[in-house]
Amino acid sequence: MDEGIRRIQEQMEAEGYVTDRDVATTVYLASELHMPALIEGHAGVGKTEVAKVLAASLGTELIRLQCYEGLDAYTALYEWNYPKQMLWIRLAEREHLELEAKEAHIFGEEFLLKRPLLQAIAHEGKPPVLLIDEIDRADEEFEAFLLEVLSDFQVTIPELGTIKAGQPPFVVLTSNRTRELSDALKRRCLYLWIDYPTFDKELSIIKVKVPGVSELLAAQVAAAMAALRQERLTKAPGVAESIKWAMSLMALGRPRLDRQGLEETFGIVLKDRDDIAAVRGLWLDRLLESLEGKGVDELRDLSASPSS
Amino acid sequence: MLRFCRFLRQNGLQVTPAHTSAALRAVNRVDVGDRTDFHLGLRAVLVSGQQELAPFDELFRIFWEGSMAVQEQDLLAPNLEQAAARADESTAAFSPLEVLSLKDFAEVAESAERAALEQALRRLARKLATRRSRRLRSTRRGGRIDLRRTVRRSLRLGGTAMELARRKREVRKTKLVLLCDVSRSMDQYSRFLLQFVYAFQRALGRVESLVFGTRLTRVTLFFRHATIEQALDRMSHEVLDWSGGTRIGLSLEAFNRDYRDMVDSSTTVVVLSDGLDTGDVELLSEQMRLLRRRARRVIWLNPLLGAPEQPPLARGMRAALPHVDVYAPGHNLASLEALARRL
Repeated sequence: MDEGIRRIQEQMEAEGYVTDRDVATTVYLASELHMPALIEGHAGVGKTEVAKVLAASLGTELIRLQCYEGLDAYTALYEWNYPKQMLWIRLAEREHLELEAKEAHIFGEEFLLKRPLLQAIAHEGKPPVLLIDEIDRADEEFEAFLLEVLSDFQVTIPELGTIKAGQPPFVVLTSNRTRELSDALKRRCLYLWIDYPTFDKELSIIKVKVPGVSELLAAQVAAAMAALRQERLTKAPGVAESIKWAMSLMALGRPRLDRQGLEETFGIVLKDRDDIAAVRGLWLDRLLESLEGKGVDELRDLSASPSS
Repeated sequence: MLRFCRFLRQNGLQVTPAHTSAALRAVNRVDVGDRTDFHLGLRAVLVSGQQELAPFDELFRIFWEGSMAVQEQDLLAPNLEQAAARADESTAAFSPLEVLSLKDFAEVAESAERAALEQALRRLARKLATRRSRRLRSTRRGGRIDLRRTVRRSLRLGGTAMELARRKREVRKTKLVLLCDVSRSMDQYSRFLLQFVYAFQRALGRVESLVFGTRLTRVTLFFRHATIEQALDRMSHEVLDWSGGTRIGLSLEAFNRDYRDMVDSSTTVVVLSDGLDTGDVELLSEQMRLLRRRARRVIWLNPLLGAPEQPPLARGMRAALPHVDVYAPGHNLASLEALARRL
């Protein structure tokens, strides 16, 4: 394996992130080629984690922009501090300043509120990691604007002039694929698809994230999750759910998955009333039956041969 | 490397010159002696969507592990064609009940009548296809106060905000998905309704249309760059379940499964059907419920609803009704205009 990729993988693992090689390779290339990385995958597979871990392993700051419908350029970039401006105008009333002078003053850096994108560009020192989370939730206009910012990392504020990034930030974009992103954006990015983890990967994630968990309980949770994701659910559980589930079972003092523990904690795994109704009853009985008395290796085999 | 990129392009991957140059830079940074690094590194750079992952892996294997002689040929294309042909055969065999009849669409309504119809449809389409955006736009009155502009203007008056600048939500286009029933019971209406579909696609950019009988076919592309006659002609050849039975539930299930991404909270779904279902009614009800939960609005237009003597409500229709936002007749021009007024 390439030295650089191995180093990234080791750093990520030191941060408690269980990586696959494709994740490490993409992160490595993103930092080497200085290209934005677009990460897609189902909800809860650890897309956002990649950015956090990248920042931690580079020892730099993480700046996060959470996207939502209606997000516009100003909210993402900068805003003037209006109350402060108003106040200053009031205070300066007696000073008989020229209009131009007043304008120049209140549109100075002192009154500028930097939002995530500008923070990332105007950042001094080590280039930060800029996480643009759930870009699919913003609309197409914002995406076009973002494309422009990502291509030259400079912003023009009419009142202040142009601000250019000394060293461009590392950019990570995530998407849950609720809509297709533009080709132009995809073309500019490295692409990474994170799938639901394999049984072994999920097992190690649970063991890393839930200290003190028994091998058997972790394996049972991983196997139950794999089985759940086979079902056609409205909202399939992600890895975050596995971790919380294992934690809750531990907190309730359950050494292994049994009916009562399952009943008590089911709300952590499935967040949709219909989904719960769909798997409750027969399906659960069969699941419990298939997990009953099995060791870790047998559970692995069970997950490897789906649809029982 | 250049040849590999060309090979990918020939086989349908979106590989641009920018991709190629990034790929060249990437291979300088990874250990090319390591097959996995090489593979994953190139994949990160050259793939731009989940749907390209599997084809990429396959093409990578063929190109770098296969013999060099086959690379120059368009190796995969014939295979894909064969595979598609095979898939067609198997689906045809899978639904033996399907009546494979090809319909003749030769008769054309009179042009004046059709012009009036298309105009009315366009009006309706515009109504259906707009909604208020969450984005703000400046406006003279109403809406929220825009502090940015207010401060700017007040400067001239020594800091007194004499006039408040405002902004409010802008009207935006929605997405529209049309699901049209072309089974036998709909025979006398389907031509008319497809005209409806055609007019919608002409009037609006973001319309997807699908037809169903015993199974579902996406026909959006049939309508693009074609006259209605061409589109109908093409459809009569390619849609295999014209004038057959109706399995609305199964068709909706297929839609919810295969075209999931078409529908989100800004999408209006219009179903054009009489609700005469020969399939599983429970499935129909369940799938309608799922559909409505994800869509912004579900509208069902039923041509039977306008008939002079109303037949009893079809079983399927009864199952679907609880999951419909608007239920209206759709048998003639007047009924569509009435709908446009109501929306």
